[in-house]
Amino acid sequence: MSEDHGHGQGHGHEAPAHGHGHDDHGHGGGEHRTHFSPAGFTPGLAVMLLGIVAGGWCFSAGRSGHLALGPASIDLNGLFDAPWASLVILCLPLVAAFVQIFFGRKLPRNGDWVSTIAVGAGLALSLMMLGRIIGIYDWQFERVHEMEWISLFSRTFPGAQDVVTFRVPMGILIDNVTVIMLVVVTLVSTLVHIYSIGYMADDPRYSRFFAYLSIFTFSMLGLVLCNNVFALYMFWELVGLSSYLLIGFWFEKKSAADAQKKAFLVNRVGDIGMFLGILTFFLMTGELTYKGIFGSVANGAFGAQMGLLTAAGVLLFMGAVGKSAQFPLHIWLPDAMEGPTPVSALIHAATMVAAGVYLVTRMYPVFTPNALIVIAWFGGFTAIFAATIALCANDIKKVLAYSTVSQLGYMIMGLGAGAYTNGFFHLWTHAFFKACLFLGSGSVIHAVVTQDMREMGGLRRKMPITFWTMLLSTLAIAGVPFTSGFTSKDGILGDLLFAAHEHPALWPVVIFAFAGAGLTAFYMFRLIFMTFTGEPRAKEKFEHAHESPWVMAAPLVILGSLAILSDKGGWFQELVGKPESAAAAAIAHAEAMKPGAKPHAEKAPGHEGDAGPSHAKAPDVGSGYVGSLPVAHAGANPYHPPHSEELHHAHSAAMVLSILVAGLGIGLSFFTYQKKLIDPAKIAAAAAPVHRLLLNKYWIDEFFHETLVKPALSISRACSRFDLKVVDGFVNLWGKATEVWSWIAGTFDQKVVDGAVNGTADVVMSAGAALSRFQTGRLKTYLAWAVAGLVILTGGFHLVTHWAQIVEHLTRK
Amino acid sequence: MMPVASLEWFLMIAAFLFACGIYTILTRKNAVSVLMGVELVLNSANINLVAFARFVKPAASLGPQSVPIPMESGAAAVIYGAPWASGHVFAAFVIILAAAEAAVALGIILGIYRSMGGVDVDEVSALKG
Repeated sequence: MSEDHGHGQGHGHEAPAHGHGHDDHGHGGGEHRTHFSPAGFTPGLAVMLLGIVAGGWCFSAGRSGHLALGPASIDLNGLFDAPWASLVILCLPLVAAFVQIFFGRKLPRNGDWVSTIAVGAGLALSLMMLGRIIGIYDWQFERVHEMEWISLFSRTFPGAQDVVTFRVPMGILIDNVTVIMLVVVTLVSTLVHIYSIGYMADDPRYSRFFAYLSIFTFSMLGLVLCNNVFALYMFWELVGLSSYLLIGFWFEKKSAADAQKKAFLVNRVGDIGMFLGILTFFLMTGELTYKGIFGSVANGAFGAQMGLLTAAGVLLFMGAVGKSAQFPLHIWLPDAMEGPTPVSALIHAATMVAAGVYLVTRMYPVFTPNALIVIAWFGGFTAIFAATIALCANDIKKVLAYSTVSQLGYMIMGLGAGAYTNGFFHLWTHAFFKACLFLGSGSVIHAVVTQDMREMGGLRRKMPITFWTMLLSTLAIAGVPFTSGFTSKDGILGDLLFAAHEHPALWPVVIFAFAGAGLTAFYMFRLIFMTFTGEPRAKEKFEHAHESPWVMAAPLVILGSLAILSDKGGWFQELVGKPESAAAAAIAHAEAMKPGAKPHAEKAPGHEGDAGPSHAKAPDVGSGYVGSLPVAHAGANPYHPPHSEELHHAHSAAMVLSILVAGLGIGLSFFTYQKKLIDPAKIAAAAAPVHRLLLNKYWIDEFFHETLVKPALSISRACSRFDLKVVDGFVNLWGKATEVWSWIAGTFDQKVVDGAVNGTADVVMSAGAALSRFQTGRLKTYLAWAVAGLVILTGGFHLVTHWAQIVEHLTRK
Repeated sequence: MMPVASLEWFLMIAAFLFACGIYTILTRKNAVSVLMGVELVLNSANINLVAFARFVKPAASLGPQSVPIPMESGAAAVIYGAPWASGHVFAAFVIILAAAEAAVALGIILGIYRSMGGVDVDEVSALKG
C-alpha cells in the first residue's frame, strides 16, 4: 500500500488509478493487472475462503444452540439473554475506529486489518445470532436489556396530577428484525472493508478511510440495536455524520465537497420532521421506548386526536424520506456517488439508506391507515420517478443511485401498503444485490478509469467475475424468477394488489409499481449491455482494463451468490411478522369516545386479543385498512398466512404481471442495446422534450434551487444587510454613546475629582507655608509664643471657670 | 500690725522674678544674658516650690485620707521620708540642675561662638522652617 502512494495521481478520477502496465503488488498477492486475472490461488483468496467456512461454522453453531470448542460446549442462548454479545458487536467497530484514527498510520499495512477484523468478528457473532433465531424459530422472539440513562424533572407541576418525570431509557432490543439488520450491516460492511483494501490501496488517507467505515458501522449497528427513539435519533444523526464524512472523503474535489454538504443539509430537512414526530409521541405518551410508545398509543394516549396520530406518524416518516432518499428529498443520493464506490455500496445502497425503511418497520404499529397511505404514495411515486431518471443516465454509478432510490421506494411503498414482511424482505435481498452491483461498478471503474458507460463496452471478456456477479445481481433487481429480488419484489407487488382491492386510493401506486418494475428491468440491462457486451467504444480504455484482484472480486462472488440465495429457505417470511397495530387500537379508543359509537366501543378492547388469522379480513375498527391488509401475518401465527382467496389471486396475478413486465423490459433492452434493432437516439429525438426532462432529472435540483436555495440566499443577504446596517449601527451607536459618556466621566475625573485632591493638597501646602512662618528658628520667637500660649491658656481657663463671678462682678455696679 | 508674709507674697515675688527672666530672655541678644534670664526663671520656680512647701500642708495634697501627720514625729520620717521637706528637695534639685544646665549651655554658647563668630541668639536660626 504505502509503496504505491508515490504514483497515486490525485483524485481527478473517481477511481484511484493505477499506473497501467505496472505490476500490482497488492493484497491479491501479486497478480498482473494487465492480463486476465484474478486467476491463481492467492493469500487473499485463502483468507476469504477461510472466512466463508468460519461464517458457515458460526451460523450452524448458532442454529444448533451450542458452540463446541473441543470438549467444552458453550450455550449460545446467552447471546440474547445478556446484552454482552450485542455490545461487543456494537463496540468493536468503534474501538477499531479509534485505533485507526490515533495509530492507523503507525500500524503495519496502515491498520486496515484492525477495522476488518473488528467488523468481521461482529459478523461472526451476528451470524451466530441469525443461526440462533432460526434455531429458535419464534416470530415473536424478543429480548430487551434496558437501564435508565437520564432521569430529569422529577417535580410536581402545579396542574399535574402526578410527578412529571423526564426519563430516557437506554437499552438494547433484540428481536428477529434486529438480528436480520445486524447481519445485513456486518456482512456488507465486512465485505466492503475487504473490497476497500484493494480499491483504496493507493489512497493517501487509506487508514482514515477505514476509520470512517468503522465509525459508520458502529453508528448503524447502534441504530439497529437501540430500543428507544431517543437513541435512534442519536445514531440516526451519527450515520448522517459518517455519510457526510465519507461522501466528502475526496474533499479536494469541489463536487465531492458540495455533495457532502448537500447530503447533510437535505437529510436535516427530513430529520427535523422526524424530530417533531418523536417529540409529538413523547409529549402525548411520555414514553421513549418503542414498546412504551406502542403500548401508550394502543391504550389511547392520543385520545380522539387521530389526526394528530396520523400527523405524528407522517412526521416520523419524514426522517425516512430524507434518509431513504424518497421524493422530493431524493436529490442528495445521486450526488452522494461522489464518494468512493465502496462507500456507495455500503452506505448509499445497502445499509444507511435502508435506515429509513428500518424506521418505518420499527415504528410500524403507530402508523394510522391514513399515514400508511401517505407512505405508500411517497414510496410508489419515488419508485417510478427515480426509475425514469435512471433510463437516461449515462454515469454507471448514477444509474445505480437512481435504481437505489427506486428500490427504496418499493420498500417504503410495500410497508405503506401493509406488506410489512415483504417490504422488509426487500431490504434484506436488496442489500446484497445492490451492494454487489455497486462493488461491481467499482471494479469496472477501477479497471477503465471512467464512470461513463458510453466509454465502456465488451468488458465481459476482460472481467468475467465482475460480469457474472453483476449479471446475477441484475437478474435479481430486475425480478427474474428464481432470484432473491423476484421473491421479495413479487411479494410486495402481490400484497400491493391485494391492498388496492380494498383501497382504491392505492391503484395509482399499483400502476407505478408495475411500470417501475418494467423500467427497472430495462435500465439495469441497459447498464449490463452498455458495459459488458458488444464492441468496446473506447479502445484505449478497454486495452488497459483488467479484472480486479481477489480481494475485490471475492466480495463480489459472495454478494452475487447471495443475490440468488438470500431468499431461499423460507425462514425470513416466517420469522418476520407484522406486529399488532397500536394505531388500530387507538382508533378503536377514539371511536369509543365518540358519542354515537356504542357497538364499536364495546368491541374495541377485544381487538388485541383476537388479532388472529380470522381477523385478516375486514376488522371493524377505524377504516379497516390496517387490519385488512395482508395482515394475515399480523395474526398469531405467521407461518400459515391466511389462505384467503383474494390474497392468493393477488399474488398469482402479481407474479404473472411482474414476470411479464420484467421480460418486456429485458427484451426491449436486449433489442435496443444488444441487437441494435431500435436506435435509442431516434427515440430520444422523437420524444425530445421528455428526453430532456429525464436528462435533467425533472429539474428537481433546479426547482429547489429556484424555490428554496435562492430565497434562502436572498433572505441571508437581507439578514446580512440588516446585520451590517441595523445591528452594527446599533452597536456602533452604543459604542459612540459610551465614548461620549467616557469623555464626560473623564473630564469630571480630571476636573472635579483631581481638582478636589489637588485642592486639598494646595490648601495643606499653603497652610503649611503660612504655618512655617512660625518656625523662625529663633528661640526667642518660640519662647514668646510659649509664653503667649501660657497666658492665653491660664487666662482662658480662668475666664471659663470663673465666668459667672466675672459676669457678676462686672454687672454688680 | 506688721504684715505677715503669706503664700501670695512669695508667689508674687516669684511671678515678678519669672517675668523679669522672660523679659531678659526675650529682649537680650547676648546669649550669656539670655542664660542669666533663664537662671532667673529657674529661681522663680525655686521660690514657688519652697513657698508651697512652707505654706501648703502635705497631708492636704495626699489624697482622701486626711490623717494629720505629726510634723515633729520622727516616726513620720520613717514612714514617708520627711514630706515636709519635699519642696526644698525639689529646689535643691533645680539648683543642681541649673548648675549643670549652665555648664552645658555655656558649652553650647562657646560652640556657637566658634562656629559663628558671635553669641547673638538672633543669628542662630538654622531650624527656620
